[in-house]
Amino acid sequence: MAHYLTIRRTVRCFQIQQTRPTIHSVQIVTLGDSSVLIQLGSHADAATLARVHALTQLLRATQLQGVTDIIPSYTTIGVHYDLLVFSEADPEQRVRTWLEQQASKVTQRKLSGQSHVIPVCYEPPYALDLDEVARLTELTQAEVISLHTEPLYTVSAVGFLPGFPYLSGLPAKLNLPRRSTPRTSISPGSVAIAAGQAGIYPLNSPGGWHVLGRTPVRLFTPEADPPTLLSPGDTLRFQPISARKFEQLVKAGVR
Amino acid sequence: MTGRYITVERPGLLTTVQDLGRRGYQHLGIPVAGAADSFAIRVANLLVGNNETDACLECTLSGPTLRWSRDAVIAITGAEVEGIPTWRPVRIAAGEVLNLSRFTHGCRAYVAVAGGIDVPSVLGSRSTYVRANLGGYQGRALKSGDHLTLGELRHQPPLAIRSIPVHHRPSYSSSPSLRVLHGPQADWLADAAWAELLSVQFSVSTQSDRMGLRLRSDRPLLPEKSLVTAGKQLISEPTVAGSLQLPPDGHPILLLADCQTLGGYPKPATVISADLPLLAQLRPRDTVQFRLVSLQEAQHLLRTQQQVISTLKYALSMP
Repeated sequence: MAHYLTIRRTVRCFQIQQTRPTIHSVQIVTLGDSSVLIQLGSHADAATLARVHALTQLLRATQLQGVTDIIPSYTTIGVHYDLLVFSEADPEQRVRTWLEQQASKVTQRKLSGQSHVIPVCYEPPYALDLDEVARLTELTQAEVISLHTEPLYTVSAVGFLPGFPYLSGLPAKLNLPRRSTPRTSISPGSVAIAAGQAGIYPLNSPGGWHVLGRTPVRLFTPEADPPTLLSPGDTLRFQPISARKFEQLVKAGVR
Repeated sequence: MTGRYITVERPGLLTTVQDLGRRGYQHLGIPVAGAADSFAIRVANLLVGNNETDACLECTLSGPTLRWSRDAVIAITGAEVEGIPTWRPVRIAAGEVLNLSRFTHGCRAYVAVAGGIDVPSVLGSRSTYVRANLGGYQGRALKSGDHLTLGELRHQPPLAIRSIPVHHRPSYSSSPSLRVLHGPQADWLADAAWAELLSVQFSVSTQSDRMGLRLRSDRPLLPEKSLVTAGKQLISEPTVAGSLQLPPDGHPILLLADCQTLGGYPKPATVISADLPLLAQLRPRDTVQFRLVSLQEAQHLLRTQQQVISTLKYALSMP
């Protein structure tokens, strides 16, 4: 397991191909009296995502006093602030000015974050829906596993549950709608797909995604800093492991 | 057990340890949580000589029965509870049993105890987020037999103070008019739909919790009425407590303290921060109406509410 830990610590950067060297227009809208949304695009594509994460990093680096949360999603960043901290008559205008200044600096569409290798056991009793996914996609189980482990995924956003990564990069052949009846309980570590995305359940939860396997890696550790294994902008690959290896890793308590 | 503690004899419907919430972790999917009525919890703390940020009990609809190990000073704010004065410091004698099961008005009562509830701070907050078993007392709602340790007294509780006057409290009501701002998807509603949103009386569904209040009306804001531009899909984006989400069934959901950090339903409106206490005190079957205000007005109203807290702090610091 030292192996997984080492890989997790390496930092990988890669360049999204730049088509036009222009500065994209950004739109800032009021979310509430103490929060705004900055919109960097209208499509959840790789270039927009890279700009979202580049701007998120700039905002964290230039932290404006009074801002409490900076929350990136696919095309937007939510910025929450404590308006009572601001001396200006219009705190939102102050926040908007800061966002516009920083957004104008986002010219390099570079996606950077930690890279991870997540071991996954695709065997019973963990691969709850592997059989059904193979049937629905008209693939063999081995093909489903191979397609699922092939891509380098990007953590587009973290939400739904603490540490739940929304992963983009799932091959189109594995694009399936959510299960018609959601499960009332999905075990922590369940690796699942739905609606063109991949994800990992960090906690026991109800859920409607198709479960392909389970990872022994802990995704949410409240006493750790950061408390989640994955952050928005990180990249990861899945690596198949045997049920025996899975149990060994669970016993060793990998994070 | 020795020392200053509270024994939970009966837990009530849903009693959790809360403070002002967990900031700075929403990008990792961790909700703010914290007291749904942040005005009430801050006043409760100040009334017993605590810091505003200390941990209190949030009791829902029917509160707990608590036994005190030592003499204590407490304050109850938010919902009105039968048999005990609220919005003022109250002395409790060692061994006394306090039954908070009957609420006469409101949904959430805050119990502050001089010294605060001493639970570990997790990710910068003592708030309980039950869904992730995070923070508070063992990450969960209280159960019978729990022992809550109390913190060291910070300041002498201001026992001479009288009850906070009603006109300094939020205008709690079982049929409030909640003030809203235009939300990020305000233009997804046609003018007629906006008129409907601002005129219909909605009732609060029983399927409401700390994540959100589900609203019902005879006239759901259905997409067929061209309220939502046909076929338009929202890419999941950040939300905030107070967001009015409109799912495809046309019945709005008002987000509360435990709301998910990201959401995919359009948000045509947002309840202003100064009115979140009114939202927190709504019970199932209460009714609400909405009224549109400007951002400047919303900011002014929140500052006015803060002025009450500041005045109270100033008054309490006087000898």
